[in-house]
This record gives sequence, C-alpha cells and structure tokens, in this order.
Amino acid sequence: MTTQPEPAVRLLNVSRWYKDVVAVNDISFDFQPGVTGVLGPNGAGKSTILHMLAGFLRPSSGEVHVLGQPAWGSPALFRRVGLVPESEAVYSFLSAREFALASARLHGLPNPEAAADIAIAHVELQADQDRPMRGYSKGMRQRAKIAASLVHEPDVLILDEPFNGTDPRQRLQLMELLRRMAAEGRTIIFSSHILEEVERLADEVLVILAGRLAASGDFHAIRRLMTDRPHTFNVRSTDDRRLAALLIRRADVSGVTLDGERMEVRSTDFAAFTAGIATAVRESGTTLLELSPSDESLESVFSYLVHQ
Amino acid sequence: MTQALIMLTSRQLLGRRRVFFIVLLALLPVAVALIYRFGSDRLDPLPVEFAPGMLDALMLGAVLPLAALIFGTAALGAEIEDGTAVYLLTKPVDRWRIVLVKIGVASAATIAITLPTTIVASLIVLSGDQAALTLAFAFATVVGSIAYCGIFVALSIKTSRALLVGLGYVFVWEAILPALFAGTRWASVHQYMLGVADLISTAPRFALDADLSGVAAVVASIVVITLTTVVATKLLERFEIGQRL
Repeated sequence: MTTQPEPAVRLLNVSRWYKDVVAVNDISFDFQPGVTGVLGPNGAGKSTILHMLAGFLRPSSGEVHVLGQPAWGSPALFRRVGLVPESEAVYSFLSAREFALASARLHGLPNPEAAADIAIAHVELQADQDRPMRGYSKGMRQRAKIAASLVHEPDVLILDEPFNGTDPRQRLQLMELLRRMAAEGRTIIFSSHILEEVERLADEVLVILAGRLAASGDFHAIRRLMTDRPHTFNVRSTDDRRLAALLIRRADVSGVTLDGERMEVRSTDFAAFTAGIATAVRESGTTLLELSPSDESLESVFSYLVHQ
Repeated sequence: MTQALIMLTSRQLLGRRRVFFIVLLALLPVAVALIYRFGSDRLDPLPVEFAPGMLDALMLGAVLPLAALIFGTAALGAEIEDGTAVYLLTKPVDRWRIVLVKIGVASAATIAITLPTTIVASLIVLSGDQAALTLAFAFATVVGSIAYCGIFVALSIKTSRALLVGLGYVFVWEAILPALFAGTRWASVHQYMLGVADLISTAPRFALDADLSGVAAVVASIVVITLTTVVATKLLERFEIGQRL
C-alpha cells in the first residue's frame, strides 16, 4: 500500500466569519505542487481563503496547514512562502530593484543583490528597475510585487488576482514564469475571477461561490461540466415562428420559448448550436436580426455548478 | 535585516511635508524665546523662572507630544493604512524586531527635531547660564520622545484612529486630569519628563511643577517603554489582514 504524500497546503473544514457574515464556509482542499486556481466571482471569498493560507487571517474554525505547519502564527513560514497581495499599494518611493532588494534583505538572504537581480529578470523589469515605482503603470507595479515575492524562491507562492492590470503580453510572460516555477515542483496558488486565466494556467481548480466550495479538482473535468450545461440564447429574426419550428427539430436544441417579440432557445451544445444556426436560418428563409447568449455571466456558470 | 527595516521606515516616515510641518512646529519655542529675550528691554519674569515654564508648556506639553504623535502613529500605522505593511509582515522577521525598529526610528526622528530646538530655546532664554536646566530639559526630551513613540506605535496597530486617540491622551488626559486626580500622574509621560528634568536640574522642584520624584519618573518611563514594546509586539503577532489592510 502506498501512502499519499503530505499536501503542500491543506484546508480542513475551514470557515471564517466576520461577526454575522460568513465569508468562507466549511472548505476542505489539499493543494499539491503545480498550479491551482481559486476561481470565483468578486466577493466570493477567494481573498479570505488566500489570506488564511498566507497566515494573515485566523480561521474561525477548521485548520490551515502550510508545509506541515499551521499557517496562522508562524512567521518563520515566510522563508518558504511568498504572497502577492491584490492591493496595488507598493512603496512608491522605492524603485522595483530597491523593493526586491529590501525584500531579499528582510528574508536574510546571503546574497541579496544577486537575488534581487534574478527576481527582476524573471518579471522582465530590467529596463525600468531603477525608476521610483510611483511612476509605474498598474502592470509594472504588479510585476514589481511579483519580483519582491519570489526573491527568496519560495516553495509555495500565493497570488491574489495576479493578472490584474497586466497587458496580454505581460500576462503570457507571467503565466510562463508561474508554469516554470510549478514545473520545478513548487506549489502555485492564484485567485482569479476570469475563467480563461484559470483555464490557461491551472492544473487544479477550486471554484468558490458565496464562500462555499462549488467544485474542485481537475480543471478540464470542471470545464466540461461548464460547457456541457444548457445554454440559453436570445434570438430575433424576421419570422420567429418559422425559425422556431426548424430549430426545435435540431438535436442540440432542448427547447424554444416564444414570448411575443422574444424567442429564447435552450441548447445542450454551445459549439454545435452556434455553428449550426446559420444553416437553420438559411433553410427557414428568414433573416437573423439578433443572436446573444443570455446566461454567460460567471455567476450563472457558477450557479449551474453548485446545482450539479 | 534590521538595516532594511530601518531604511524602509525612515524613507516612509521622513516625507518632506511631514518633516517640514514638525520642524515649523518645533521652531515655536525658539521664536517665543527670541521674543522674550529681544522683545523688550526688561526681562520679566526672570530667565530662570521663565525658561522652565515656557519649555514645560510649549515643548514638553505641546510640540514634543505632537511630533511624537505624528511620527509614532505614522511609523507603522501609515503602512497599515496604505496597505504596504503586507510586504513587511510576509517576511520571516520577528515581530518584536519590527516594533523596536518602528519605535526607534520614530523616536530618533522626534529627538532629531525637538532636542536641538529645546537646547537652542533654553540657551536663548538663559543666555547660556544655568546649564543644568538646559541639560535637564534635553534629557527629558529624549525620555519623553521614546515613551510617547512607544505608546503611539502600539496605538497605531490597535486602531485606525490612533491620531485622534493620541490627541485625546495629550490634550485631555495629560493636560487636565493630573490636576484633578493625583493618581493619573503615574500614567502621564508629561509628568515623567518633568520628573526626569527635576532629577537633573538644580532648579527648585516647584519651578518645574513635577508631581513625580526623579527616580519614580525614571522607573515609570522604563516600565512604559518596555510595556508598550511588549503590547505592540503582541498586537502585531495577532494582526489580521482583514482588520485594516
């Protein structure tokens, strides 16, 4: 019999409440080395979870362990843990290099200058490294924060909405950096409210909705659940009744509702429906005036998952 | 590690506007001393009577506590308020070390501004005589700066309204209560400073209006500085990010 290795980070029946408000409700999850995305809409409780992982919040109940130690009240853990907060605040009077260097010195690293140089190179900020951060764009500040957080090459890196404010090129470059760190056996945990970010980076995912764990595990399995769910489209054409009669015969359409000026079509297969509607319109001899998905908000995707 | 802490705190604390305001404030006793000395031909009251009263009321009673309040609450409180404290608190640095550096830098900044102006104002009024009195207020300034900064650093971890609470302590608790309730002198840094000045000065005790003996004031100062360091450390150890950051 083989024994499961100790997870790098463990949440065990963790809840956190502020007076009467429950921010996180009874969540258990083991974070293994690799990239794990904490996905959820704004206000879902992602930051609260990340702050508990970083030892910055005491769980109201349950346990949070990082590298075998309780996260709360163990500042020595920061030798092996890095945190990139969501807040944009930085020491605006410092340059990115001074920030990384101060970080390296506070970690007591033997060669802080070299560590700062490596961290700055990781986030490709060399060209602007000596300018005070008060003049930086949001994306540059984000990269400076990341450089300061990985100056000590942490085993566990926690990032709260790390791609906020970054442009597509910076986002790709940061994703590549995090993938590389994960490939070295580190545990990377990041939060996001953007599905595509998590999809492109995370191996494992935690979907949080209203403080509860809506889904967790392999991202692709969860993604399938998301894409296989019924999709609702608002459709308007020059002759809705004729088009509806044709659409209802399609295998990928599970229902059509005609309500005065409005036609709502429910499909079981997003890709097949969007690819096939043009044919249906042509066959019906009508003209399509409007086609829009009505339930594509992240909230509705999460709500669907909760009910699965 | 400590060097980086000192660098971050100093650069954060010594913003141009903050320092300019406190320097301006600290020049007030010097201005009053100049007016006293050169404002009229006859010196009334006598310099040896005027100096203790002026330095007590203006420097120890207003300028020094205000300077310590501004530096003490900003040393860590400003980082907590603007969110940058997270970078400090995610480092494997003992919390007592952070607290000591914060109190140390805030005290050094307060002393650097108030000590020279105390000495200059005293020398102007006394025309360089009564060196013991000048020395007494110089020592009192140093002790008071450290004690106040300890209190205000701890206060800034506990509450986001540290500035307001601090003003209440200085201008209500310290200014009014010791006159009404004798017991409150034990919880007044102002009284510690007068006690320390009394210990060193050769001036009569009534001239300094000290309610505590010199030894009691020194002991009380040490207790307050130690206690506020311990309390601030405990508060920082239990600090939760959702609290204020």
